[in-house]
Amino acid sequence: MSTTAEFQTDAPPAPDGIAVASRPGRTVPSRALVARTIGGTLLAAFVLAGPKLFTWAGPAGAYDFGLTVAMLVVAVSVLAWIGEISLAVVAQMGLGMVGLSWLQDHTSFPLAVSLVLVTLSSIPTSLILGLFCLRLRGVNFVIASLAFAGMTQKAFFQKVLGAATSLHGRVSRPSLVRSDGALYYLIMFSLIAVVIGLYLLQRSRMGTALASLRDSETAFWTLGYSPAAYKLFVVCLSGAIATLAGAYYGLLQGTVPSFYFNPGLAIVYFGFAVAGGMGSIGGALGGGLFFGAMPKYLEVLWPSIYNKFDFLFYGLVALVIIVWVPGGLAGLGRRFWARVEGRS
Amino acid sequence: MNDLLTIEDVAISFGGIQALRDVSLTARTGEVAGVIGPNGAGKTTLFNCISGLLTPDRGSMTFDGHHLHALGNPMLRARRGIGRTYQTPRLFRSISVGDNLMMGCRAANAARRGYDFDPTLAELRPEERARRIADLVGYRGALDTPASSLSFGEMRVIELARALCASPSLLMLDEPASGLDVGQAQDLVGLVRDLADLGLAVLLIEHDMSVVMGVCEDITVLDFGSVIARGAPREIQENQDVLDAYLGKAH
Repeated sequence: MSTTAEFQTDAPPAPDGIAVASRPGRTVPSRALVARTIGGTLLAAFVLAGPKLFTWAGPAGAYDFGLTVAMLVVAVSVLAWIGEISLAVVAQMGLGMVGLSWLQDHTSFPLAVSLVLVTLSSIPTSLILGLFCLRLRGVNFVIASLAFAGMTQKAFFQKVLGAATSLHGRVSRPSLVRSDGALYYLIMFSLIAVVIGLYLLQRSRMGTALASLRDSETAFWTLGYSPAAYKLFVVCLSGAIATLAGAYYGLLQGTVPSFYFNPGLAIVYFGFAVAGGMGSIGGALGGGLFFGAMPKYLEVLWPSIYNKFDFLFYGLVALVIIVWVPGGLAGLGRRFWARVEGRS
Repeated sequence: MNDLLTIEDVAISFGGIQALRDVSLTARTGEVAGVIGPNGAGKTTLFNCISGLLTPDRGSMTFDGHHLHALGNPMLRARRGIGRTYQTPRLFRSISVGDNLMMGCRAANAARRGYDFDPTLAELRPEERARRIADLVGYRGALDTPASSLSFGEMRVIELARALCASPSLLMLDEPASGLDVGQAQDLVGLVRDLADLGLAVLLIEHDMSVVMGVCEDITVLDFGSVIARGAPREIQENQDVLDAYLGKAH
């Protein structure tokens, strides 16, 4: 029995028989409070320690790579808010890297300013993609986004920027983030800012409107809202996150082969988003970090075995999660947390 | 009572199928106009044309003195005061009942529209407005109830409330009594009548004849996309073409 009031689910009826809508009691039971305090402390310690926790398994860069993948998977997952899937995120990621390289070559902006500018530079390409999103839905939009990514890769990354295997541009790291360990904090700080922003957005009026749009676009439209404006906003938001992830990817790798922006990779990242729990920001983070960093560590720990069976990791583990874990890693996390708090 | 919506000779076809053929009708403020007909007669297609989800091939539709074609897409038409419900309720299921109603209230705010059926509502905060309109339609549950957990009948009621929250001048109800029990259907008749008396124009598609005959001043009967009869409920009940359409010529 908790020492505090339980959640109040039903409001008492008003005198005229109509139930009064009141917010449910928000008092948190003591067990949940303890669990949240411990969980929050562990999470903070995990975030602060970062790759130092895994130095026995591999370099800090592996963890940083996991974070950039997590950011990209978040971008994929954000589009699920409007019920769409885009395979163009990898192209947008590549444009982020190229954009940062160009800014470093042609300007002397500080890194923070360059990152902001690179993120904003995603808007035109996102608007082009958004036009497809307004005209097409479901599988048709997926195909269109794949075509967009394919064109970008062939016509821009390969033809304009360089050969099939390398890009002209290089991304150099400022002295502040020279080491992978220092870069970790920059990427993690950005990721936390993105996640908090998305969390607040989901709980705002905009979030309610986006949920409504996903539930019934027709009703949303005939109620007096513009589905087009909201869709464009989400496509731009997703594109900005993917582009930022690309900029960090560039900082991490220095130079990136153009085949890294192969549209086929977007399917892999989409798989991570599904395994993480489509639409869930926490799931996208978990899925991206797990599937992004783990192979890098396994590659260091057991290179001979992993290099032979890497397909099993990506294929089998993802398949097991998708088929046997409803809601993906996010669902698993929610059920685990409900048990910890004594809610199930 | 003035003509709020006038439809003249509207026609639309899908491929080789003529879904509406020279349909004309009028909806007046303070009146309930019924649209009836067998399944596939074109009733919902007509609603979709009025709300802007479909564009007629020809004909004219005038709403509050403006050509509907000029008013543009469904969003702009809704902001001008055209509200509707659907044959199968289209609630926003992943949010709460209160948030569904608030979506309507915010749409009304964005359109800067007053409430024809209760001008005092415009002075209330959206949260209070939502509660008042929930009361009006007889919803007895809590507003923080998830919309997905409502019964079918409650979904109908909340969908109607959401449409009212958006401050319509013309309310189009697509089979609002289907799925309701007898008592609920009677309450609905009373509510629709009250809304019309308060100054709304109501267009009603309904299969339940007791509802239609009990609440409509004027009824238009469609069959295979064409108007086969139009008039007061008594005239429609005695119309031979209507009887043939509903019961078959051999009855």
